[in-house]
Amino acid sequence: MQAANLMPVLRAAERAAMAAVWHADDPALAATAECAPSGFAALDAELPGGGWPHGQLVELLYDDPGIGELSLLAPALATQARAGRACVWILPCERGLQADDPLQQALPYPPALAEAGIDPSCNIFVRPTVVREAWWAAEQSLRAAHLGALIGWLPTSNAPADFRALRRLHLLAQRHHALVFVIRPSLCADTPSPAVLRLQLDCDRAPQSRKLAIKILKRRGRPLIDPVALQVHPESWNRPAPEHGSVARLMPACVAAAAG
Amino acid sequence: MVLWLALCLPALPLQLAERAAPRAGPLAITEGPPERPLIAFCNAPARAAGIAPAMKLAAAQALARTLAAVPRNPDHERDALHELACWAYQFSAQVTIQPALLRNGGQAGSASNCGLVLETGGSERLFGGRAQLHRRIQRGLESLGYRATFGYAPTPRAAWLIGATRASGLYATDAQADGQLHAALAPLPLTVLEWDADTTRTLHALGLATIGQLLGLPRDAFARRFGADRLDHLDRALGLQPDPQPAFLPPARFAARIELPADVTQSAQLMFPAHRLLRSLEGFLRGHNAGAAELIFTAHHSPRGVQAVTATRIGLALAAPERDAGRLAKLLAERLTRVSLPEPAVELSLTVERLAPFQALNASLLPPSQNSVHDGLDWLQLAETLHARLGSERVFQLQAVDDHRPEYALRIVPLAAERGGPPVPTQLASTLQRPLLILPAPQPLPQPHELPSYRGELVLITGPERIEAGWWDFGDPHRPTVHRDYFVARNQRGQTLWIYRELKQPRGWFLHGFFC
Repeated sequence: MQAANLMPVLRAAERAAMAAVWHADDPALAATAECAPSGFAALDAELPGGGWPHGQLVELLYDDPGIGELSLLAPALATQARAGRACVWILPCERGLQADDPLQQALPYPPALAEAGIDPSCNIFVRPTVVREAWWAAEQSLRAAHLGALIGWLPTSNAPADFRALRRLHLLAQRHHALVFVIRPSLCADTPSPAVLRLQLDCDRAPQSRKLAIKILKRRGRPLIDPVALQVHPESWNRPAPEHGSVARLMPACVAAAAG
Repeated sequence: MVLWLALCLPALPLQLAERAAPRAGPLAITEGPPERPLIAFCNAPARAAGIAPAMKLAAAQALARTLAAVPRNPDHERDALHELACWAYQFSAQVTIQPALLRNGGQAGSASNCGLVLETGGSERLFGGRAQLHRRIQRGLESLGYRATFGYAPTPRAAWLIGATRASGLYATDAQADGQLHAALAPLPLTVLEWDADTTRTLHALGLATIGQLLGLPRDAFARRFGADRLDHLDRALGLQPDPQPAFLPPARFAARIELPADVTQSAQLMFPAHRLLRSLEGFLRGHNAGAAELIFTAHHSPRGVQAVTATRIGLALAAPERDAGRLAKLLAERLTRVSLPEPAVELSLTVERLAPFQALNASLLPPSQNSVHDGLDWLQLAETLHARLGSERVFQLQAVDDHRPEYALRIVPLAAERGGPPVPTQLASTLQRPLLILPAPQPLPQPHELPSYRGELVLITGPERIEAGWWDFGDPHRPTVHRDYFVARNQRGQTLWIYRELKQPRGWFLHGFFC
């Protein structure tokens, strides 16, 4: 009789105890920090804690801009902007890029930011000239109490130096509540990194799909075998590529006539 | 209760020369005609070498070969006292520069001591008591690089006499109340009155050595023999006669300078003297209850031969008015990394032309969340730190502008000086599909087979979106009209791009953004 009464109590105690235990096999329970949803359920299901962790270093590795990479961060950034916290963008450093790379001058576009719910006035943009300045600015930003998020295109020099610099950022990030995203080229995937979450982004090369394929290289918990495929851009953009001739059809008549 | 504090600065010219950096070797201040300079003041190493005031410079140099001689500059002394009065204005509304007091009966020009007299009785409660205020002034003077002796008395003259006695190395007691005034002044030597040499000699010949002995003389006879103004001087010191002080009114702009003892070649070496100036500025701003939004440091260089060298100007612009010397010093340290001195600097000056209303900016009473960095920088300070090191064109904000031309729909704005406090969220909405990254200057795309390509063949996905706008800026070459057809395109690597076809001559395809 007494034992039967105790069972629910024991179960509750067990559940409470289980929640405090780190579960390597369950991504949802492997979180140690508060998380901000990415806005994509399929990705959130694989991220420990169900989103981007606050106060942790997150690394995004990709080469080609325009595959939908920043859209993954937009909902989390919008939340920070609504809370009135500043977001610092460390834009690609001129020295780290090729001479004709358009990223040298690329800027976040305020109308698009506003559409994504990110108030442009909450953002501070930094365009460093040399590699050292980029890391310095990132470090300084993480010393600011009211920082909401840091997005940094951080240049690479050599693996040991990068590791040391990332480790410093990682330690600073842990003292902080901010979201910290570091963007680096995908060739860094093979080098060690102190980031708790490392994602490699690429475009799904299947002819009709054009989804964003996310490989989670490192996360707390069990490793992920298959990449997560996300439809970031509107579905209508996935229709079969038009024939080359249709470019002329898409052109306004006057231009076509002029070109012809 | 009225209580006056005298800050007596012994050997001010020497202090000014040693302020920017302590000097180990012998140093002397000379005055007199340039062809026959005499030693006016000398520091301890010089005295140890046998050098004394009133010695000829040539004789002194024979005693100490490493003697550094600096000619006395009364203008610098006056400016320094003025600057110090501005600084002291934070502690008291009633500040008087000495030696104005000595004009009545004394010889102002020959005063060996100068300094300030300020009324602290009224403000001591504000600073947490007399002892607290005393410590605060003492620490402040130290950080400015001055040595001063203190004297407290209920009348300004008595305070000055006590301070001056201590400056000459003798013992004196403070008079904290009216009743103690006579007892405090009585043992002081006659010389601190700084009367003319004849009078002092006569008094000494009469066997009078202290103020107390003077006060014991019959008043009528004293006035007849030495003049009524001498008696008046003593009466004012004792509080028997009113002694109104000219009120010092600080100017509305700040200017201070510091002489650099040795030639400074590295900009980082300017930090120490700059810190002294910033301390002085902080006191000045506290007195005005104001902040500074723009500081201008100027490093003056020694002339190259006969040719004057243009001074190096180091501007420090802030996002919000600030007065804390520590914070300003941090910003300046970042700023100095971008400065190189063309020639060695001999003098550093700091000016603030415009004072701004200052609100002590504490971001919030409670930290924003328990996990955040408690001792961290405020975001405004962060912006200023980045700004100071990287420059205004590299740290900026972006604004959405209502314009149909995509490249004019954004504006790069510097971190504004007027904008204080955290950013205010605004509501903006747009229904059009726009890329998250844009190129302010569109990049031409190669067209190998009539069709545009970017890292591979491009496939058009949506479009065209015709944008024809800007005719109202007709004639403005910097804001040309646009006639374009915009498309969303994708290449083999999966990059989704925003490209357009120029409809004006010369035609062509351009890359304008990335759908990130």
